[in-house]
Amino acid sequence: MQKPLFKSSLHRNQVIMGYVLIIPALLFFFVFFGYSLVQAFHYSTLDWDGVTEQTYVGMQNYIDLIHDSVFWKAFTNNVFYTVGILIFGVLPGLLLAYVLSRPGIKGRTLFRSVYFFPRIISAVVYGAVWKWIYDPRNGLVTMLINMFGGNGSDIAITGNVKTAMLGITITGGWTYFGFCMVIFIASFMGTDMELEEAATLDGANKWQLFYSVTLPQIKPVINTVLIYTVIDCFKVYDLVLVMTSGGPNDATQIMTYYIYKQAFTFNKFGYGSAAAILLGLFMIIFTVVYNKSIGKEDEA
Amino acid sequence: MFKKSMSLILTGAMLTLVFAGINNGGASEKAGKIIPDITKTESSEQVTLTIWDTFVDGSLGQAQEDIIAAYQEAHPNVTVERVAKDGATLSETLKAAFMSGDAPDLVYYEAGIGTVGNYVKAGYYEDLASVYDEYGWKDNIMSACWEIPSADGYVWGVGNEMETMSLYINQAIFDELGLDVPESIEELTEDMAVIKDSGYQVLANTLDSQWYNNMNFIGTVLYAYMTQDEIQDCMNNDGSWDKESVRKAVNCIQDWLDKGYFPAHPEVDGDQEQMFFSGDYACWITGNWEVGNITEKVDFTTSIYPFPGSASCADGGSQVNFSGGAYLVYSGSEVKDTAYQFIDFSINNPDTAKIWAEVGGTMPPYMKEYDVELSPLSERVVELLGDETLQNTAGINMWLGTASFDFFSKAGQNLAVQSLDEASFIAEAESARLQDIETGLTKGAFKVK
Repeated sequence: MQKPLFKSSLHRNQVIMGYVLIIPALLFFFVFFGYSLVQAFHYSTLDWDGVTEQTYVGMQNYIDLIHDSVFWKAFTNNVFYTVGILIFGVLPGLLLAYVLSRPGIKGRTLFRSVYFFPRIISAVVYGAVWKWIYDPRNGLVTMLINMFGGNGSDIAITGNVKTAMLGITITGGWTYFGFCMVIFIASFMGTDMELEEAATLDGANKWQLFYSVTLPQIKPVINTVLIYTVIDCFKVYDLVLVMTSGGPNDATQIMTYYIYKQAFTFNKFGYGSAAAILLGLFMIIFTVVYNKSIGKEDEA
Repeated sequence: MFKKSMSLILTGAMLTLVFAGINNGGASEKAGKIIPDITKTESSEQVTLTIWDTFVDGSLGQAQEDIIAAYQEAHPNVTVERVAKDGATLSETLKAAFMSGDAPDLVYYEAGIGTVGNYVKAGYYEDLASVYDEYGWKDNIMSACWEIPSADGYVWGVGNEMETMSLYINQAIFDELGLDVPESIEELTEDMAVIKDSGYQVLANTLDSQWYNNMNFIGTVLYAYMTQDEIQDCMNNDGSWDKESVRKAVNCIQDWLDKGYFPAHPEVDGDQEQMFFSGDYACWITGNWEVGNITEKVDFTTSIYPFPGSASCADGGSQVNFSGGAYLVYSGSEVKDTAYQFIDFSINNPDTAKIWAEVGGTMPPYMKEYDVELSPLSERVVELLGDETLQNTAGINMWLGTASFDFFSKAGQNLAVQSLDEASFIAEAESARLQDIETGLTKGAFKVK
């Protein structure tokens, strides 16, 4: 005998109402995301400056991108920046959150506010501040080195092709760790203290408590933060624009700035769209692969 | 400040201005505001003229507001709706406005071929060649106004804001060291050695991440070595950069970098104004947009000289001039005649020229006689713009294609971090030039369809 689709008329009405309620959100999604995505892909198959006639070139833009060294330089810099943010932003945020979430810590709210503060400032503002900090002529780093008897003006962090990206990454980390800290504090506060007490009675040391007992409890939050971080790092734009404009010699070129320049500076809309599609594709693949691997880990 | 009358007279195609003691007596001043003499036109039809401009700077924005107010008073049937945006924002939003058919009637923006050439090709900007004749603009305004925004017989803009790159020196340092005004770039290099040895900082210029710092500096040095024929070859015929004079210019910049004539780490962004205003630096290669700041903020005597050409240059080198921007008329506008009328009012008028100079602090292209109050340094700039012995030529950023523009916008920084040398400079400049020719956005390759 076939099962009824709905348990009751109330259930049926609830289901129908559910679908009705998501229609506006779906419409917004398809109009502002789905349509734009399809449009961007269409543009990526064109040789088009954004205003004159369009010429269909198929996958040529993608082929050219694969052979474009600056594109790969930008991609590599984004990977470097992401890894750097994990080291200078997520990791300190995690450790600091653990310390501040311990019972008996005084001034937790104050610390939380102070560390979170950089996150609420515009990248244009803190980018300009850090530009001054790194300034080899009269910046803070130079002054500190001079104070300790060195020659600070020997070091031009953002002027050196080898250190410029590191300088930007440290700045990014400075703004990011407070954000991570706030998220992790909330999750640490929700962990089961009885488990820790039990482990302590079993002779676990502080590292074992942190790594084997507390950390696994906030794993879903860590996963969310990691995915968010990767996406956020590949979207960085204004910080680079303010601090180095991608220089010197493309040493700080990143994907979003590269895409913007192709589309709006060089008027290569098709080429820029192809780069944007590849970036989007990378983000989707990363998210899917990461989520799958997490799922497998959890099953195991 | 002093009040004097000024006469600006065109000689040939060159930018030529000559002082004369003639009082036009056109405008009056009330409570510090310049009120142009207005002859009201009579028309019953109400018209709205939309203008997007890049006068976001306080003084230029005020000048534009004053001119619009005067224009509306003279033409009561016209309502001007003005939107000021920075260059990048205007460029991005304009593209969308064109595509949606909702572009402003009048745009004021950089009008070099690399910036607006593709819009011209797409037919978004009106050809103003006949409008120039109708209003007689060529008789009254500087030739740069139409020489820069034109190619293939098509004139798409009317320039405004005349600017020139010059050598600004701290006269106190030059006097103390007994240095004369350098007659050539080679003499300037010798002076730099003396300045450096005396413990002073030499150049208040950086070659950093800002495109204009690279472009203006390199362009000025290039023009010191290149003859007019060579410049015209590159500008109008897509000529090669592989020239002996270009190599010499690159070597000169490299030499100055090697000898430490720039501030420490010139590749890192720095506040050039603050450096020069500190009084520690002897020279600054910059444009007349700094004159207002120097007049207001500097407590030592600053002298302005033409940038000296090279002794190796057959015609003595040229000076870099710019037109800060140009008026462009949207071809889809329904009030084109009003737009032309407004341009005429703004740039072909002694009273509005006075507003541009005194309120805006910029040099208007208007060349007939008009009353104006100028600071001594501004007076000097007018003198340089009008000096018949100088070869005033449009700077490279006014005519480069997009790929070349990008190359030159970071070439100085790349020289400073040694990512470029003479050979790679030429090779990369050539590669960019060929890319631009391919896109058709050069004066030589440009074709209006």
